[in-house]
Amino acid sequence: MTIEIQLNDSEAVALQQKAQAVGQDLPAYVSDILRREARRPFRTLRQITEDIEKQRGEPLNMTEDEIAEMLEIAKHEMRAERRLRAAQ
Amino acid sequence: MLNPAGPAGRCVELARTGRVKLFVSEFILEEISELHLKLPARAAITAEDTEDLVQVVRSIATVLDPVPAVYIHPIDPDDSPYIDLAIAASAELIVSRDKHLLGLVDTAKPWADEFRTRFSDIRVLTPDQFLAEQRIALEGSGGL
Repeated sequence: MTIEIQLNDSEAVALQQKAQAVGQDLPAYVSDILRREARRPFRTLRQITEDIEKQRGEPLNMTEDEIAEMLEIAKHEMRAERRLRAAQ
Repeated sequence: MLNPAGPAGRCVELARTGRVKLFVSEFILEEISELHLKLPARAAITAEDTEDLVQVVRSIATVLDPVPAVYIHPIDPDDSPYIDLAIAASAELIVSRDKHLLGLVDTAKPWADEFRTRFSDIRVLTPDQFLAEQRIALEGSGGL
């Protein structure tokens, strides 16, 4: 099966750069992504959360406020890193 | 994902079952995709989990892209895309525990006066407040 994908300029440039970084041309890079995606089963929200609970092994034991605080800290760290990346 | 039985998890469930309409933007999906990198290891959320979550959110939400930049949050400009999304979607509600988003509708916060004047149709509720409203609405319609 052959598929044609329309990309805007910025998407095409970003994908070209990613492909170059791993030593592939764009079609091979995109094909690899799609093949990986095809092998991965679709998980429902329930399945995702059940798998996370298994990975965790024990209850998180955090209140909603503690979870919100943890997410807030993580969000600000992530955004700071994104700003740094964008500035480079 | 952190507490599916908690209020935020139940809000997502309302969107999944079509009881409420959820809007997201590519910006928000990117934030979701990267957030696990900064969570402590005990949260046990992997890149694959967040990728799959983004797929689920895409399947239950309306994705708006691009979202015009209309409003700059005076305290936390990084939160602005969430307001811009609500404006672009003509949404009635932002559901969040973020104190800077909740502050926008707090009349004790003068820094949010401009927001309340310009966007008086948009409310910001915590997940608990939103669920309480939904319960009242359902009880009123005989849905419970």
